[in-house]
Amino acid sequence: MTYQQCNACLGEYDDTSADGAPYFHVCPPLERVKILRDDGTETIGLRSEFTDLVLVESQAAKDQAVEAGANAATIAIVLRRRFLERPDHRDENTLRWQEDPQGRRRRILKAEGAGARRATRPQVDAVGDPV
Amino acid sequence: MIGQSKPGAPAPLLVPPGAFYFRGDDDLRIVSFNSASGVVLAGTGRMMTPDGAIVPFDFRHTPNTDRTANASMHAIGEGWLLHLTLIVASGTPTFGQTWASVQLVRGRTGNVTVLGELASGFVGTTQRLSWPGGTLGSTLEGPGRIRSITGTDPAAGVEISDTVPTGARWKLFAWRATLVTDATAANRLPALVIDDGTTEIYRAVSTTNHTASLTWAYNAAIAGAAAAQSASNVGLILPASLVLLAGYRIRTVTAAIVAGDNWGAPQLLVEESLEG
Repeated sequence: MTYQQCNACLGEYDDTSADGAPYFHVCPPLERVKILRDDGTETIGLRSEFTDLVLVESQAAKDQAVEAGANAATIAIVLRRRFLERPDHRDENTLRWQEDPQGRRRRILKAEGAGARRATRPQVDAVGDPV
Repeated sequence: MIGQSKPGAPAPLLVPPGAFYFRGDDDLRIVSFNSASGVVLAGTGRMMTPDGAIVPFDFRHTPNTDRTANASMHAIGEGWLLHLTLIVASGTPTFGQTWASVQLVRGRTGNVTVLGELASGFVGTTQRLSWPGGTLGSTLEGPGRIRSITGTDPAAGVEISDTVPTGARWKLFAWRATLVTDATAANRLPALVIDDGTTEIYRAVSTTNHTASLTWAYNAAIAGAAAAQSASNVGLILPASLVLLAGYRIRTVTAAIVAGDNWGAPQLLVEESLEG
């Protein structure tokens, strides 16, 4: 059982589930959004690029946040969204098995992507888990 | 009784001892689907040769561990197959993890023709697959295996997404994950989304704003109505009999998520069948 980190999405996972079955990581999609800023301009980009903004789903949600004290200039409304495959995305499911000249069988992944590396397993209490 | 005629002797009775006669160019083929690591199947049986001798045989077959098909050929000689059995010799798969089919085939490479199927079904360390007297069963027959699976722990600011693996079919019973919000003032509204890899099929949206600097767990289960929020646990509803095929995704879409918000690894309770 190896704890790994995907180089594309930075997600972390065990390569084997607790019941002994292999776990095949697949990167989550990227979210591309069209947003309406407070100044009326519309912008298209990846959600992760708008680090200076909070993206809400509706004018009502924006109004609610502003009433609660948020700065309207830091809030944008998502007008449209599309989920895209991540560049260099990794899909560890099997595409096919390949045999080398020595007869050794090797699993070819659906998408090697940016690869994965060994990672340090977090402490159990590293992320709070409410009861 | 099968035998050679001798001059002057009465003709032998030509009663074949079994329905499967193997010529020299016929083989046994084992095809397996498996999701457990370290599994090796052992096959044993006996043949009656054309001259009446009873000959035992045995072979080994190693399934793939990724739910894809693996096939191996085993030459057992010429004659009538009397009986055979297949059992897990190494590894400890639970019922529903290792499925095998035993076939009579002609041709070793290229076009392999299946002339007959002797037995097929799940096999374990104590549950054998046998012929004669065995069954012909599909990989989707019977209850699947109950699995508690830990998904990928996404990086901060990234949504959860787990994909049903190739060769698997899942019934999703329950899902739980924890969202830790950072200090940014925003009303996050997480949703659990099921899609077929492209198109959304189902969305269960939380109805309670998840504000800054809080750790809440989101719990989805098959229920008629979402449970009222209890302390820091939020309930979401899953439809009953939600069958997910390979490539379907179970993911979150969180309105107003910010870069410092952090989903933990989700835990899923599923019934897994092998697609075969």
